[in-house]
Amino acid sequence: MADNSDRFTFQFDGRTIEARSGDTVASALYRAGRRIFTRSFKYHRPRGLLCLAGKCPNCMMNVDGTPNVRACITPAREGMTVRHQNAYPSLENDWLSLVQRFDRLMPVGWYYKTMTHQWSWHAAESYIRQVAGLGVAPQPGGGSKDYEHAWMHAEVAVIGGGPAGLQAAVEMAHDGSPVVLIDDQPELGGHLRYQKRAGAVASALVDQLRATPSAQIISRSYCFGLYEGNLLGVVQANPHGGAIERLIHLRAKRVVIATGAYEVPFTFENNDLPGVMLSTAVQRLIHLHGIKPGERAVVVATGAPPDEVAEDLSQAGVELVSILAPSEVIAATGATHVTGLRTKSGELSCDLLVMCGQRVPDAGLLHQAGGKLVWNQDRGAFLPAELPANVSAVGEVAGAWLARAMPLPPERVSFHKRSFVCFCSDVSTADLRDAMSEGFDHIETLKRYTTLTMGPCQGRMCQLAGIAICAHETGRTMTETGVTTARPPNPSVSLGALAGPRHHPFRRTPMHDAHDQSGAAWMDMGDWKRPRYYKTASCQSEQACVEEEYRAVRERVGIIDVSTLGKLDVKGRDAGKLLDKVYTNRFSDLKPGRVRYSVLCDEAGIMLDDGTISRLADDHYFITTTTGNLDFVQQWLEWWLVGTGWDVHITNVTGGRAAVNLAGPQARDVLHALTACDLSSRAFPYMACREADVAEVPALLLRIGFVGETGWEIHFPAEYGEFLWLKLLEAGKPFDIRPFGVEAQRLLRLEKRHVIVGVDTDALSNPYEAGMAWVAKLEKPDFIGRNALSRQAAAAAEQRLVGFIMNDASLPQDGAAILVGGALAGRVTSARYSPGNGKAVGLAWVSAKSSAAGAEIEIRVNGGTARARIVEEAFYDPAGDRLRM
Amino acid sequence: MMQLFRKQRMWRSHQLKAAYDVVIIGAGVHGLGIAYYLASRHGIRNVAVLDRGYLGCGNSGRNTAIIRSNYRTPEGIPFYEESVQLYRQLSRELDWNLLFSQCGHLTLAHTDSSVAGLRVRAENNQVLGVDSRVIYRDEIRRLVPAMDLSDGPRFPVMAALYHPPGGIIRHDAVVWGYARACDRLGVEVHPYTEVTGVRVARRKAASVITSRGAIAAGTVVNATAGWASMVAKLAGVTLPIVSHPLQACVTEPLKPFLDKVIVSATLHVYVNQTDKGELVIGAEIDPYQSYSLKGTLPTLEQMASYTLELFPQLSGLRVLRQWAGICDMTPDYAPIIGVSREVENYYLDVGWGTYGFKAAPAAAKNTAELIATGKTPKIIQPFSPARFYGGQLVGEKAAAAVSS
Ligand SMILES: Cc1cc2nc3c(=O)[nH]c(=O)nc-3n(C[C@H](O)[C@H](O)[C@H](O)COP(=O)(O)OP(=O)(O)OC[C@H]3O[C@@H](n4cnc5c(N)ncnc54)[C@H](O)[C@@H]3O)c2cc1C
Ligand code: FES
Repeated sequence: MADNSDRFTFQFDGRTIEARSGDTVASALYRAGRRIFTRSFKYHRPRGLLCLAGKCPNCMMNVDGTPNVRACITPAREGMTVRHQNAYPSLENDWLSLVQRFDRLMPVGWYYKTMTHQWSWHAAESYIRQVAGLGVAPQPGGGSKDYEHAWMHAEVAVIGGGPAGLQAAVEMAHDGSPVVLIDDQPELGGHLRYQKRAGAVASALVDQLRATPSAQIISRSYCFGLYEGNLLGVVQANPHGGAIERLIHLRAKRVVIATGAYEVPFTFENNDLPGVMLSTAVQRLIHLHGIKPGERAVVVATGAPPDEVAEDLSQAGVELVSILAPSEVIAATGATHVTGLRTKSGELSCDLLVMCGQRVPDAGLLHQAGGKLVWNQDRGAFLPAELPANVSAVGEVAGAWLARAMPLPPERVSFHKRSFVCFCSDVSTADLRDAMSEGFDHIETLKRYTTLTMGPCQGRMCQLAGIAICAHETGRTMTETGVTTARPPNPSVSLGALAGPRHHPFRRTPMHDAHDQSGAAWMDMGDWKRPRYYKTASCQSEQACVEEEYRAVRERVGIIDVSTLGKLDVKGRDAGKLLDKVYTNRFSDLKPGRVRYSVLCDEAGIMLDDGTISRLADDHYFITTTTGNLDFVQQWLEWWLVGTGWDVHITNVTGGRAAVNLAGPQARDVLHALTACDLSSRAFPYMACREADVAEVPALLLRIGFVGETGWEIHFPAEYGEFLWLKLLEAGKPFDIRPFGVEAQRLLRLEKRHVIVGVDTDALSNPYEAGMAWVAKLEKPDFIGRNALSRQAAAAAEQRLVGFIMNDASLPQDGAAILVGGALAGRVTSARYSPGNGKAVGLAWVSAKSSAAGAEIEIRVNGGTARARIVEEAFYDPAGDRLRM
Repeated sequence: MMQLFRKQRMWRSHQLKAAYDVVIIGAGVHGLGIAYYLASRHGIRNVAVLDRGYLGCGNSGRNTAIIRSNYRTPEGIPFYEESVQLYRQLSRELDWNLLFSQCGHLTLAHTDSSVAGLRVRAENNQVLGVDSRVIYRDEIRRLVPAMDLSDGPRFPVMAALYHPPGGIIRHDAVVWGYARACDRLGVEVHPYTEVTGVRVARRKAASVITSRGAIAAGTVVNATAGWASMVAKLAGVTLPIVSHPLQACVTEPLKPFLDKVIVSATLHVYVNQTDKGELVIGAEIDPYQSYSLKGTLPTLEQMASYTLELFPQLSGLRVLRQWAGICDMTPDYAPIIGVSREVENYYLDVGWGTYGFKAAPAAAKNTAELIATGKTPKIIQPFSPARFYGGQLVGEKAAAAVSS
């Protein structure tokens, strides 16, 4: 009995509704006299409580802004705001209910047979979209992130806290095995909580389970999926005040399904009227909420007289008009609520029609697990015959206590446009017959053509009836007709619970705060944040700042944070062998203390990544990868290492190392102030590496030059990141050093015609077409991609990556099309205004026949075209003298 | 109006005959489409279309039905454009409404480099006469007011490729429409007829062995998508195809609030709202090869998470079903259409991966022409199986991160 002393209120459609503790939204509304809870999907027929178990579509409402919430399983809370949906202006008076007058003009599949002109469908569709759908989507800005994810392991997971599940859990936990019991109700006991005459809830069993230390009970939680490897998806409602739902990923060695059975309605004319209810719904109203469900009831049942239901009704003070077999029933009557029943032997008047329907095992999880279910004629149910190892079923879901409540397939079906099988999409027995007569007579095609089982009830209310009618019409047996594939999630799950807390962390380099203080304008690069450029007092626009940074590097000295580079430490006797195998360049002959550039190709010769590799010792290399490709390169190396038996150890040191690139004619002077290392070109030439202290920080210095000036890439422990960054800036002060960002770096390298893999190349670019033939050492006996590359080396290129310089002052955008003689001949990959050339320069893919040095191409700019000339060499310092200074 | 109430069978069932001029394996949109164009355009009607399940049980009944032609390459663009044009008149032609809604299609970019990638597509599309352009936040907001276009998300939307003629079609309707038209033209469709072998003699397929008996065949066509490489093996034909699952899910209906197709490669997700009001959400292919049609939890979680990045207000919306199809992926994300190298009367219309629904009319029509005339129409020449032996791959992979 609901507790009468504890009352509170909530709002429904602007009215105040009184509720009692233990109430759901639906029970409180029902007690307050509400009978219409929503309007149906297609014909806007009035709909009232049918199952009271969250298994039909008849009580969906908007609760605190969330649409499509089932009122009958949503606990009523003080102050909540509930609104009706899918009816305008009100549930009682819905203008669109006019549609049902024309339901005969809408036979099944009517929309496929009409409006076959594109224009007529186009016009009709916008009207359809004005009336389609159920609840209203929350406004942008709404929604919540208060969802959690959790992970659990158990020896045994028992799904369902009714008598069978309880018994199983107690037995399994007996020997101390960890057992988790999942139950969707606020209290254990299953159907015994409202079917009082079936027996009392075995409180001793519940107590015993609660007292078992190895058992854990998770109530108000439902399992929606049984995935591969006994992974159970479980949603727990309101695990604590701060979370709406928690999704538990429960991995169990054994799963016991004890989900019981639910009751489904009979099909007869107007079987969807409010007041036509399942017997279990009526029992729930009486026993869980202390509500008298109506005044005068007719009970429809086959087989043994349903004493239990009749007794419950009379005890609640409901007058029992009659008990009838379903075959006696012709139609329910009434406009917006049942007022009577037309039977073969005359009319009856009533305000409540109780259906003791067939009980259907809640076997969705068994299906998902790959269990084989076969029709059992006595029980009137598809029951598990073969289940995968480690999955079992007990109780009603396995057939216990079940009995057939009607002939299946039925002897006669009353085909009528208002005899509903599917309450979600208003599919009637007549619709099913018509669809089958058109050839959709297999359960899978019948489903797709009529949309049976595809609505919010996920087939619970309609699947069995659909199969039965299909079997009846086709003359096949229930077994031959079969069931449709059951798919997770079942029951449905919110996007929020699936998505979880949605933390999308980003990575910051150790110098992040220093960049912020220098006015960094940030950009995303993979997971990382990088300064795109720095806003300073002297420059206002991005372009002006980038040009200042550019000039600093070209004329004085600049510094850029390159900590985001992927960094792999590769050690072992066979390290060189592995690198020879995976990279296109040769590394086994690289001398310690030297650095070499390479690309990495797949078997088709496509460039996947590039970077420098330094040899620190005979058995020790240091690789850098591009920022976004680190994980891939590491996996790729590990993959090719598998099975070789080689002595190689790959360690990802990306997070542990900070890195900067110090570059410009005065880079040496800046670095010299902080290190004892001999930086002269003789002692430390271009493409060499040294380990040395810089400002007393142990560092690895690589003399390389992506931006085209004398410079050093300095790798050092991340904990000194900010310290050394600031030290270098300080040491650079006399030379007017400037930190520079990604944009300036892109411009500087473009002038040098250095390619960025993934920007200037794509998933089909090979080194030959990209003008980087030198990087593939075909004379190596074998490496990944060698076959393809050998063929490409010999074949005539179809297209080439070339440099170009504009003839006039125009600046093409990255991605602009290239035309030759008006036809498409390629695309720009990178283009920037080059201060060194006074014009825009860039890289572009151009069809090989138009790619000769000096040839003119047309590039689309601002809707028109501009002319450019193809240039073979770098746009800046083609001989590379400045790198070696 | 009267046709509303006609109750004709869509297609009839038949006994298998001893021989057919053409036997097509796979009754998805491609197999049925080829049969339809053979019969309607070339008068070849002694044709059987076989499927081991119900019609459309493969990817044709599992896809998200996005139709568009804003591809990237000069080979791809005219081909998919022909398909869109064929789809535009197909409802009329088949006298069966395919519910083709050209509602507009947006591909989102969240990074500099993807903006440049979209620009390449827009440029190529414009040069080749396809309506498509790069638009920025203001215009995106006008078209999709419900989407989060603030700087709040981890990867804020920067730009989009807007393709007004793109849209959605009702996938089952296309299957049924073709099947019905095939039946009317005398072609036989045979569901529940699994092909278990192909007898090949002197480089020619002689007969097809099925679960219902053997049938002689003048020409055999493989249109089995996810199973293409296994079915090809039955005839000794090897294909450079690997099969990956691709998953999708659908939510409960909401009143329509989103009338554009939204695709985000960075977020590996695409979303549209059907005329019933359900959101259909698709994922990127699963990273492993498999023939499993079971949905997985991690992929479902990703679809949910990325959808909420774009539409955070939908956190309470519930997912009703998830499912998977098996996609036949080629190395260059372009299909394989033509005669097999190993068996001279064995034709292929496969390699449709994650993008083959939209291609069906053009692929089927041109494959039918190839079968009927023995000449390869120019528009499908780039997709010939021979390209893998000459290293002439098509460049769609570059644009194909999420490629439905
Ligand atoms: C989740 C998902 C989303 C997608 N989204 C899109 C999209 O938005 N847009 C788009 O254009 N494309 C999309 N695709 C791809 C598209 O669905 C397919 O490329 C297309 O449907 C292929 O059609 P088909 O007729 O070749 O193959 P299918 O429809 O798969 O037909 C192949 C048939 O072959 C049958 N078969 C297999 N083996 C045998 C045998 N031995 N004997 C007899 N029959 C056999 C199968 O049963 C099957 O029915 C998507 C795919 C998936 C899985
Ligand atoms: S009455 Fe609430 S779901 Fe059936």
